[in-house]
Amino acid sequence: MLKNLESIAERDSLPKLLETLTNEITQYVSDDKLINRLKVCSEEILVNIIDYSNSKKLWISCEFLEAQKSLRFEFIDEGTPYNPLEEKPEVDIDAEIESRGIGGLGIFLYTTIMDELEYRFENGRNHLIAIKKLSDVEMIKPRLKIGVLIESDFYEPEIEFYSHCFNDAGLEVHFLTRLWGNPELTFTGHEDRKPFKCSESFETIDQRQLKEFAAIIIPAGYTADRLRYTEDVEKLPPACEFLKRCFKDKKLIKGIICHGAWLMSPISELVRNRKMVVHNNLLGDAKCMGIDYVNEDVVVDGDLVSARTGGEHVKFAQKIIELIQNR
Amino acid sequence: MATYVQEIGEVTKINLHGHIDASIAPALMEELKPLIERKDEIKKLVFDAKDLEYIASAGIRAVVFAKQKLGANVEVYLIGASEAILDVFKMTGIDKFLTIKDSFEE
Repeated sequence: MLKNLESIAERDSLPKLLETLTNEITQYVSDDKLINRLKVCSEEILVNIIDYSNSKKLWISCEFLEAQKSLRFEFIDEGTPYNPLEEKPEVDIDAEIESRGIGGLGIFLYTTIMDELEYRFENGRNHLIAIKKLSDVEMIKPRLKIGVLIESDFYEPEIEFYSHCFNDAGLEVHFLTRLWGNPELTFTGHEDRKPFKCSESFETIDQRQLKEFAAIIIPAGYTADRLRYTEDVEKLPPACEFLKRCFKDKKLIKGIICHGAWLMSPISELVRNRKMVVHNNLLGDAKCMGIDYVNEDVVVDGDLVSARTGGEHVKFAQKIIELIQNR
Repeated sequence: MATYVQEIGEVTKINLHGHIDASIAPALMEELKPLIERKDEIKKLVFDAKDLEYIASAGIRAVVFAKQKLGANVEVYLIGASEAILDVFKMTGIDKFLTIKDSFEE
């Protein structure tokens, strides 16, 4: 949310203001064309204030109204009272080029793009409020999904716990694997050969869908080792390609527990110098990978959460839930 | 200082690049003005937008200005524009006066 961001009212302020506003807009809007349209609207409104209000300063607010699924912009200046909406110019977009006036294009653009516009003069200040409703496709969905990688020889108590603990916290757990073209695969647990069905693949999650995830977990057991299989020695395992994308997204928590760290060895540059704990059996691997080992049960390093053994799965999951709830 | 006009001649090339907001657009307009003086030499005017990241009405006005001043005999191209850039041209109806293509071949 941007609240009354103050700026000098001059054209040279535009690049910085537009950059700040665009960063804000991209928090809520996923559609590139709409992001650009809203940036254009903001510029047109700002240029009107800068060129015609005689105000030395201006203030900008931008917030997402959850209930209305709308973005609300407010532009304030302390110049002469002026309602741009009253003088809405006639712009005939079908006119011949020779008769196209070059004024009014800005107001035309923002009145066309925005859904609601309201002007008021209050306590010596002009306020222009502009609202844009977002469709479900245009909106970035809140990050509510938790992805847990899965393969055979998983650690049963851990996976059973993950099956409900995230949903209990209002999140949505998704078990992800490599399906090899199958609609579903059944894996078996390490201790009791307990079956577990998985029908979602991490390979088909695109960048937009990845933004719906709050965390990706590499669990204990042999999941990490099985997923680091590659049929082409010239290529990284698909699970590592997926994790590379996950590590690029700083808002996405990466959780690695116990032997999960195995899956990082082909892409060890992503954990080099990161604070982590691994299973005692993997201390040598951690050293080879350049991990900055911390001797604690659960370790948090920014967007990276790690835990020592599968036995720590409760504390590990609770830490991840806590980080998501406090973000 | 960024320059936009690359080449003046029968095919005159203008390289639109980066963010052309209202703080930048006046410089583009200034660069386009000398073209008017030499309009008899110009047959085609090519706005290359492949490196253009952003444009709003101030920049579009410069394109309209060029098209108006050069007259009906000069064909004006807009090439390599992204979907978001084209969207703004279409909303203003200016796209109709331009030959829009992915690339320019003489």
